[in-house]
Amino acid sequence: MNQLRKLSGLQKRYPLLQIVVLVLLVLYVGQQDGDFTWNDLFAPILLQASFLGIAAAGQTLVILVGGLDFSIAAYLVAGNLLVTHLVGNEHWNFGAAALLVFAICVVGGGFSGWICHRFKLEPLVITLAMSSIVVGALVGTNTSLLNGSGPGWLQSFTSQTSDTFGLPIAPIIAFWIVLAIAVTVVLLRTPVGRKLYLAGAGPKSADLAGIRTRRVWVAAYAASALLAGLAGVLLAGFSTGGDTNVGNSYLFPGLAAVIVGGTMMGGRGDYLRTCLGALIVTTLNFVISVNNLNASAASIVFGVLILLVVALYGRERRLRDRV
Amino acid sequence: MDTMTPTEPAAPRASATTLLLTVDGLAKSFGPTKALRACSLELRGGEVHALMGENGSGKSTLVKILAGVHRPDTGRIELAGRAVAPRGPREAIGSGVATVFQEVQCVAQQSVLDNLWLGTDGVVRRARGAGLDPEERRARAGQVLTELLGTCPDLDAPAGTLSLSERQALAIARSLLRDPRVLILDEATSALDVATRDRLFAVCRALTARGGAVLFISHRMDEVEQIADRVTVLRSGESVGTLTQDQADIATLVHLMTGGEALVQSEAAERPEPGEVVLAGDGLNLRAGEIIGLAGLEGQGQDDYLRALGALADPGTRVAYVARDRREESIFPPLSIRENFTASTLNQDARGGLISTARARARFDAYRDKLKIRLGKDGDAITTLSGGNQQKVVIARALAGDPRVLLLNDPTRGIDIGAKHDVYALLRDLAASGMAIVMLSTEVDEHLELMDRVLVFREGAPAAELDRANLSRSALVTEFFGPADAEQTETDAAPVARQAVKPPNRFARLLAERTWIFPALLAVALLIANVVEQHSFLEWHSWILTFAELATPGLAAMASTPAILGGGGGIDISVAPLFVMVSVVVEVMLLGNGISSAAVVIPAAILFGAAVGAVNGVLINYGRYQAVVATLCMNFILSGFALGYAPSPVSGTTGWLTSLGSTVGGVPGGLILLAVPLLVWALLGRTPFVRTLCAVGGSEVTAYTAGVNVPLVRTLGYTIGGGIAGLAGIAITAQLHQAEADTGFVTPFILLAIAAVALGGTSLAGGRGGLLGSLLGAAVIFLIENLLGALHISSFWSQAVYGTTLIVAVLFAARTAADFGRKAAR
Repeated sequence: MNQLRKLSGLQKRYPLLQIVVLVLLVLYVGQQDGDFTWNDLFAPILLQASFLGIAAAGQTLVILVGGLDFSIAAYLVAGNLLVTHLVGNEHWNFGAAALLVFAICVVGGGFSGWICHRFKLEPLVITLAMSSIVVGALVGTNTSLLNGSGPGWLQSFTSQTSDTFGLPIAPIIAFWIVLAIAVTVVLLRTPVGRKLYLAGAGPKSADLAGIRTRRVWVAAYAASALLAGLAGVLLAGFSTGGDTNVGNSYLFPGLAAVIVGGTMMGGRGDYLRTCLGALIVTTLNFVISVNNLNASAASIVFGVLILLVVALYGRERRLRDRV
Repeated sequence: MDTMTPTEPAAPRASATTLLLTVDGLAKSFGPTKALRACSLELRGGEVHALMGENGSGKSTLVKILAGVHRPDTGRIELAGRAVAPRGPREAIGSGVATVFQEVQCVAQQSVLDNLWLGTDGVVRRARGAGLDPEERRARAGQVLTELLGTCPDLDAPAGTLSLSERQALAIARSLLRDPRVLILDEATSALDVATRDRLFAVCRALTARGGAVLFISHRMDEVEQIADRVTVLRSGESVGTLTQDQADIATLVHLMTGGEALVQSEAAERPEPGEVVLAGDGLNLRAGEIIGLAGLEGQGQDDYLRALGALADPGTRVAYVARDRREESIFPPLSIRENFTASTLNQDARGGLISTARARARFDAYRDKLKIRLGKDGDAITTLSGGNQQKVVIARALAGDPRVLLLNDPTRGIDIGAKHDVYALLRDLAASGMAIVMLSTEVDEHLELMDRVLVFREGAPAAELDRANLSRSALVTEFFGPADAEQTETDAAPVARQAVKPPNRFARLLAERTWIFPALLAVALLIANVVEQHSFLEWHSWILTFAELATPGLAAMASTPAILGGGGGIDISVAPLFVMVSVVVEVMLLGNGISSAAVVIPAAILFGAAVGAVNGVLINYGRYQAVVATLCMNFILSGFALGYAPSPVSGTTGWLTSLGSTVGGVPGGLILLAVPLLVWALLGRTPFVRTLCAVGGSEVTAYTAGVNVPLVRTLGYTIGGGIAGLAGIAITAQLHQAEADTGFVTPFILLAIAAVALGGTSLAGGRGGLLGSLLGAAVIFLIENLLGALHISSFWSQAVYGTTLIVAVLFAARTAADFGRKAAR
């Protein structure tokens, strides 16, 4: 009994169960394939998880600060469309196109954060509305956005067959690892990151403690849009031609990654948990594909498995404990 | 033990020896902490029994066990000779034990009257019996409130418009209306002004005269002296003694509470002369080394005054503020003690941009000794500390910024005597070292013990200043009510406090209470614009078409509403896949198998939807899943099933379904479909259900402790929403004559439904709104798209316009609500 308590205490500090679940899932996939080699098992999981992980990084920040970002998909689409269009059709310099994407993301995301905080609006609705505005205005102005193509070097950046300075991983995976370390250090070790936790854990307390929580909100939402836009830019190498639906495969699965990872509203969690969540969600997709399940069965299994995983550690306090 | 019958004893005074409530050997642990070890207590009929003890001594745990919130690990409770084990607040209240909790509990959005009777009714059935019909409810509510407040506030005004003291009285009145045999007041006097408190004591005496008993928990010695017949003291979760009133002097009580640990009273006199003025203005010249008290009845403006003081300081003067509401305004619950301490001074620990834990720890350790903060590890969560120690951490945080002026808002509220004296000693030391301190306190004794000067507030402004030489209990209390004719004004004190509450602008109040008005106006304006642009829009056949197209989004929006109304983060994002799944059920399983009777198909669709909604509700409210998580998973599961049964669109229709897509008996089918949930909702509005659901959404804790079955009410909300989604499944099938399960088709509806609810004026936080608003919200979206289509604007632009409208509408709704709230708060 006592040891059980110790374990649950440890689980609060470290994502132990998430690691166990991930290891079991990976072992299962390897078992089913009868193949435990790097190239056939680990590298593909890491590659797919990297996009999801990058796209879900912003959601993690926003949820930590006590919000919710439903515009991830829109900024991802914006990044994807603009880069494929400007580089593919208009022959812009890639860096300039990427900068334009990031500027749009920071302004749009920052506006969402500002207006939600300033007028105490529901983030879910505002980010939903902003995604309509961003995608609508973007494609409304220029429908040729829909038939561009990404730069060639980006394709090798995100290809499984490339390596990174001799390491047998795709550059995108290396990029994800660096990003994960950077985000984690910022969150856990810098005043800026701490302010994010404080603003999420006690909004009024943070205000009274002299933290400018509105700035924190603006920063969190801007960062979220920026990271989503970044994922969209990177996806430009993965997919040929723009697609307004490309974001949909990252919004809800990204949210699932954050939830499965164990980050919760109001200052509990971190980005490493989300990375684990992204890996779990991706591996689940592999579990589904090794069993030759079709899309419909996959969707069902996915839903049930998240329910099971979350049942292990992510449930709410009892009502009587909230009195 | 002598009463065999639980009926009220007839002779009031003779019952003084009747044992009403016996608590024997109660113990309760939360994880590793033993909150209650061995608590025994006897409550006699006809007595007011005080319960005292330091924070963390187990008082609140005992109260929560008696109130049915927690179940004890061991021990027994007897009520009038019969063993009881309440499984929830409702059972406890039903058995005659009513509790008023420490935190002031009311549903701000609902009327005073609804607040008073919250929890009395069943989920859908109205409680009946003597004194419970509507007229009598109103009369009794008015009577009880008048007894407590001296006058009766407007029973139809939202409870949020009352002052803190009045809201506390409201919570007490709610318990009194349940005719308790045992009334438990857990620090329920802390927010009351003096006059109301005296009236409460009179009400308590009336209750005991009828043979009832009061368990009275307070940290204030003067109150205990005034009202208690006996006092039981708790220490570390054990009852260590029961004293009669004449035995219960302060020294004995403190000795019992602390276990003989002497309270060091620091020398009050050693204080240098006040130094230079550090903060001037608004009737105050604060000098270095001074402690100034702010006093007055509750809500006389001292709170706003204190908050505004910081802004008056020169830019160079560092001012620190310690807020009043510890849980909401001071601490960061999930974070560690150390992180709570460093919150205001993060940059002091930064080394090359990174926070050094060692440095933060070293800084904290200095304050830890100085403030005598008792804790295990500084990495533990702040919530593992007692209230007194939490407050010390908060004060340490303020001091870490090295302020010259320290503003404290009732810092000793609800902390135990030991911690209080630690705080007093600290403040004296700080003042001696030259800090200027302004402290709001609701305790007269605190002013007498600590302050150099006291400003007494009346009607929003400082009305008198008492210096050390003139400071006495009688002088202070006299100033509370104004120097002239104190006796006379005392009874009028509460109305004075309320008269400051200006009735809010009637239009703003109307908009805030009838949340559907704004979307209705918007819909009418858009309708006119549509007609101007496209005259054919008014023709009958286009009305039929409009209703057919509006039916599905309108129903989806209404289906999303009950879950949101129930609050607690309630939301159902599986509504769209649910109605798609229902349309698949209708096409593939029913029509596909030759089952086409409307009498089978429609009930089957609604029941299927309601069943899925119920599963969502059970997962969320009994399985304790977050609503977003549970319905996201349900979203995946339903989409999967729908796609599995209908990989490509499945077509088919039947006679009645076709006419439902156009007209039935001359009435547009869409109109009929939309009217059904509105009618059902209106009927439900005549039962307690809708009101209770909104109360749960407004304040789940209030509803729960008042005896509402919160999980059941919310689950029912999800179930009703699911049923409406089932109807939406019929609507989409009637419109398209096919079932389509493609995710590209479904996803926009998920977002649209929630957008429509928000546009319709329903607060996504719960508690305010209704189905009609959501329908109007869906109509607004439909009309915008229609208008832009008529103007030949691309669908992408219409998306952008719809997004903008959504932001503007939500902004407007929030402004009217905030306007209303701000006026109400004054």
